Amino acid sequence: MNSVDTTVTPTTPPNALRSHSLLRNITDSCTNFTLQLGDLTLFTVQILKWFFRRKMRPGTLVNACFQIGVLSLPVIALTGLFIGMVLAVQSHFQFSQIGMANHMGAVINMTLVRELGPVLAATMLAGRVGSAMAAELGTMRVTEQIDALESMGINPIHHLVLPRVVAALLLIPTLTIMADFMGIFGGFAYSYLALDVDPHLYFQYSRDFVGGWDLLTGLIKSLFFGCTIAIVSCYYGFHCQVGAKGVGRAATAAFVISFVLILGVDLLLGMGLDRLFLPLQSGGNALI
Amino acid sequence: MSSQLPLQSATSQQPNSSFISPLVEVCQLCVSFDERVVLQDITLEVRRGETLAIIGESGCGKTVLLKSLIGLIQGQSGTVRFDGVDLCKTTSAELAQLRTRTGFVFQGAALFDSLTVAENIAFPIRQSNSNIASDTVLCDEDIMSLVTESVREVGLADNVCQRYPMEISGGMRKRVAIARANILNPDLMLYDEPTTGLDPIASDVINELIMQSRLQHTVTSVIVTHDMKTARKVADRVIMFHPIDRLAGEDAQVIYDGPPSLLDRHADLRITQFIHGEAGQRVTELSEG
Repeated sequence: MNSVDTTVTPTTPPNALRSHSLLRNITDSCTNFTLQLGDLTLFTVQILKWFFRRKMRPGTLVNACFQIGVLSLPVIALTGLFIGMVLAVQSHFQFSQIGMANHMGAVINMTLVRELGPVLAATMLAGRVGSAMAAELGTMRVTEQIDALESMGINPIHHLVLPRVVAALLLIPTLTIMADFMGIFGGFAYSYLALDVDPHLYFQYSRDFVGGWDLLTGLIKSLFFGCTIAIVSCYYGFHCQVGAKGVGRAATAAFVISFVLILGVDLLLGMGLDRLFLPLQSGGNALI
Repeated sequence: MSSQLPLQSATSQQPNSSFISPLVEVCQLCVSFDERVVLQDITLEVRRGETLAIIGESGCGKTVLLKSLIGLIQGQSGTVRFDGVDLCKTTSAELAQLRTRTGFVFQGAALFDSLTVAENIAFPIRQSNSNIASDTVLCDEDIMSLVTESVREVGLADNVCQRYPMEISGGMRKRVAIARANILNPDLMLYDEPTTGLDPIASDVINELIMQSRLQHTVTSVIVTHDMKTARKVADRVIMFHPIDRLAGEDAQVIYDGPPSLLDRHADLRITQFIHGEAGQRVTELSEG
């Protein structure tokens, strides 16, 4: 205990140790991110492969459509309605100061159909359906139900993941239209009933500024969002770690990663779609 | 590695069993997860019609081996052959086809909790229906009569059929899992700790069901268990594994391969301690890390 250590060890400066540890953490994070991205890509390829290889059982698709579409309608309608009203409150505050309160219909409706409708519908879907998908598949993984499927010669991606992805892809445009409609209705109702905005002028300006292309942009975005939510949520559920903690983590990761990706995809599509379809946009028919 | 000792009971009734190729052959299988080696150079065979029990301490790789037998876990090296087909060299479609010839009873039963008991048992039939020609497809009535029959075979009442797995006891869930695994009359039945967590009577019911299923049709069974009563009662042959991290030097991981009746006469301390459930010096070893 009291012996003197006579060996000479080269001392490493603390700053160098800290940089080394930081560098290792960065390298580990990058490696994990790359591995996970590769894994997610392979997972997506598997889904595509099974989509073309074998027909889904109608029962599984109908059940997924019910869970994703029908049960999400109330929450998405309610969110759309309130967002429309909130937009009316905020727009009126700004526009009335410059005497353009009658123009607010254009801003509210444009914002809704191009951005807030699809993004909010997708966010609600990620929260309500994405987390549930990850938790459900995660629980199936932990309780060996996925292994049981495989032991019967059934591919779990075909049986569990594909119906969910297809249902999300099919139904998210409908949910987006519902969010748009309820938002437009909420914005108009609040403007007309509470803020005394002229209803004729409200829709007149909307018609001048909001075109069919704007609605289409929102719907195209929603397809990408739906795909992202379903694939990411199923991926995290499918690769869930053992135990209740693992299922909880999978559900949280499904929502957080889906949400971040929705925002990223929204930005990219926002930049890309307008540039790609500029001629179509200028020639688009007025919708509202 | 495989035992040359004569098989007992049902297996011995089969003519020329020694000349028939084994149903499952495992050759130098190594499985590891990350850097942790679980199975090292495992070589064994499961003969047609025999009931093989795999025993050993927790964490010695019994379940990993069971899952490897049908390709649910892929080894890093070595081969697993099912009815002469190397699982590593099959396509996913061929592997899926091979798996329809097996039944797997998982430790926690692994019943689909969104389906009723009847739907769970009918599930393999409905899936196989979708893979075969339409003229041989079973109608709903036929499926339900098969389900009712198999529910009765495992000693459950008809009214259990409409209940969900969460609404029935652990023993009943295990019986439903056995009924589901048996419904397509598989060639190979795999049981992962079928009696764990059950009371002695429920455990014996499961043992009886395992024996009953081989009386009804020729089936090869592999049972992973800690329960020596199960191993003694149902098995023709017992293989005992030892955890890799407790092996000394170049020792093989399979420390016993033979009939259950000879287990008691074995001199190996590792075997006698396990079969009599004696901790020995283990408490001290564990506290020393």
